[in-house]
Amino acid sequence: MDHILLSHGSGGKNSRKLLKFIYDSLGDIVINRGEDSGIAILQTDKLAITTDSYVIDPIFFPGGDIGKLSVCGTLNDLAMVGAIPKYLTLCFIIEENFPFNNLRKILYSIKEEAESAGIKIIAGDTKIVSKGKLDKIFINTTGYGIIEHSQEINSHNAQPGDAVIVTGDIGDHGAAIMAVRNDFESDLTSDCASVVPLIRKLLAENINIHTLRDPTRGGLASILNEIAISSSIDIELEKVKIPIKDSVNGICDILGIDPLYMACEGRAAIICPESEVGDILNILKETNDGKNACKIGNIVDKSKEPRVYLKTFIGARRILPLLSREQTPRIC
Amino acid sequence: MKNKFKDNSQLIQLLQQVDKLLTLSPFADRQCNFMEICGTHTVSILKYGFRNYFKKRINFLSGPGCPVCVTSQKDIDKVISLAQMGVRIATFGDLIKVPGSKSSLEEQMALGKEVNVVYNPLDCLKIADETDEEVVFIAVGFETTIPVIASLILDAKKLRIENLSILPLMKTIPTALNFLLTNLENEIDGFICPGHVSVIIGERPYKIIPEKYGIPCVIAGFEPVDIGLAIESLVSQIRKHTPIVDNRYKRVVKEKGNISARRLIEEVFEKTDVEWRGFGEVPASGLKLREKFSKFDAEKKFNINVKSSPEPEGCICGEVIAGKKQPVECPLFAKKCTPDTPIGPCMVSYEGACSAFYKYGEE
Ligand code: SF4
Ligand code: SF4
Repeated sequence: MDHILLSHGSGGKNSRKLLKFIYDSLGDIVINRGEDSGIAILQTDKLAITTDSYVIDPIFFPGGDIGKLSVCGTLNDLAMVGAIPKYLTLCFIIEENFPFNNLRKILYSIKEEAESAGIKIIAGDTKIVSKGKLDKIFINTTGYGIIEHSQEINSHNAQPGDAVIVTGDIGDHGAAIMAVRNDFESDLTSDCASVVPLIRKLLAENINIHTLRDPTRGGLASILNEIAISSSIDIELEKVKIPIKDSVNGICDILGIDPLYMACEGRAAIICPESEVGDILNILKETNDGKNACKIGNIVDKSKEPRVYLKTFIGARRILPLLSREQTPRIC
Repeated sequence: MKNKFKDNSQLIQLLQQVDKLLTLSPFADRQCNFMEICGTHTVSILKYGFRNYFKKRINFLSGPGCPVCVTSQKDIDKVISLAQMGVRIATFGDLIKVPGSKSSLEEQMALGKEVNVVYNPLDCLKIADETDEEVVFIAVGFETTIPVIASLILDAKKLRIENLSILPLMKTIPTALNFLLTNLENEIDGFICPGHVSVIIGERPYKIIPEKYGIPCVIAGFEPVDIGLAIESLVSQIRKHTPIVDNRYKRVVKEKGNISARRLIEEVFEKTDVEWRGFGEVPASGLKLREKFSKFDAEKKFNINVKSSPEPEGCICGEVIAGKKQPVECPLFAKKCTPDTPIGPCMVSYEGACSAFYKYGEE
């Protein structure tokens, strides 16, 4: 038997087989096996919780797969409040006939990411739906992390004079996915990765951070707009300083999409007092995932009509708006 | 690899020089009106900040350069009526959101009608091959896309594909420009001619503009340096009173254009009068299938019955396309009409002036 059948979700013998398959693949990152509830032991009074569902197409892409994404994405959300991840729940909804081989690959990626983050899977669920009811596999994860620092890190806390830093190149994930979907030949890989180690390092060094966000869906432009609105401030970015790979620019040019709206899955935007910039960049540049980190702009002012501005390289300024529509590739 | 057309320190100097020239006679006390015909130019001009840079001195007008925007309301209704008949529609993505008078393709998709988005018209061969349903490609486009549509027809004929046809909505740029200049009272001081279209048609079709109307033209690419050079060319042509068709995109556009692509067009299509949004009917500015290919004409194959319908109330797309007004002058702009809730096509298409202003609007 090499494909998932409906009976794998029936609660009977086959269900047990599937569960065993999952446990075997994940190994000892799974705790509280077989109990109805997982029991978490936490010594803290400040807990961060986040949940997200992953429905990406294609499920395997250069630089990662839906399994890796479902762990990193949720860990990154925890990191964005400066939390140290401890536990993850893991739910699969799988389309009938899904190959076991692919499931195994996904489980291995999950295991690898969970292990390197030092977290445990504390609860989970698997459902099988009949063919055509969903596209291959959906994963939901919920992350639990503890907060040990005493800073106010949130989207409302960006202040005039602050600097905006990104931890690496922008748009890689979105561009890599677009390239695969459109059958473009490219050597692009997704930046899918956990930013937890980077953020932990900064916090361990007592760096003062005002806001953290990961530019996933909607890209850098969208999260900065959201921060601008939450903090009632204007942000000004300098186009020439924003790190974007030529290959990402190339794909975006072909499709008529702006890389600033392309999703990243392993980056963070850091907003901090200008005086911290030097230290942050020094710390980040020592790491592999942060070696392309750079300062890309500043918070310029308080504002009743918050906006993000982009200084183009000819020295002109334009608005970088919040776009909600998914960008469709252009005609020619 | 560094792209010298994108990222070039000399550009800033060049722009400073141009800016200085614009403070002298004959520009001193007036704004220049430059029309960019191609939608991709509109996007570049806004995106790189040229509009903002020359704010007081140059007024950039968008022209009829986006194939989606110039498609008339009636033609959009035809597309929707085809979808309603149950044929499988193959189309470029931009058309999906364009509102017809009662519905849009997007809405038809939600109702379960089959619509396939294609990036290349030739993909329709495969789609038609894999289904028994009737497939209709919505053939919008200018000279850039038309040769590929011609190949589609030739291939379909050779492969004897019976269930494929096209809704011919193709238009040609030079005829439209001519019409614009004879019929509309615009004061245009210079044209930035489309890069991609010119690859096919070459320099010649524009010659009439400087020769008959004394208006400078420049064929330009889309990178910042290309736009800078184009502006510089128009400004110096005006200063020296020497209007010509200046080809500043020689790395791609040859004087004679692409002759074999034009032959391909010739072989499959012939000229016909068509309706443009904003202009109404323009004689000989569109293309229809030649008689021997007429079985690929969806208009003939299906009984499409739509009446002319007025353009959406309040939408000034027509005037925007004709360079008479700016998107921001539209009362609906960024209020009722946004990329999420587009009222006219100019807000839908990536190259549409309204959507470009919305996305890259200056302060
Ligand atoms: S069809 Fe080509 S030349 Fe015309 S507006 Fe679009 S990009 Fe420009
Ligand atoms: S803003 Fe909307 S309604 Fe106004 S002209 Fe543009 S597309 Fe039409």
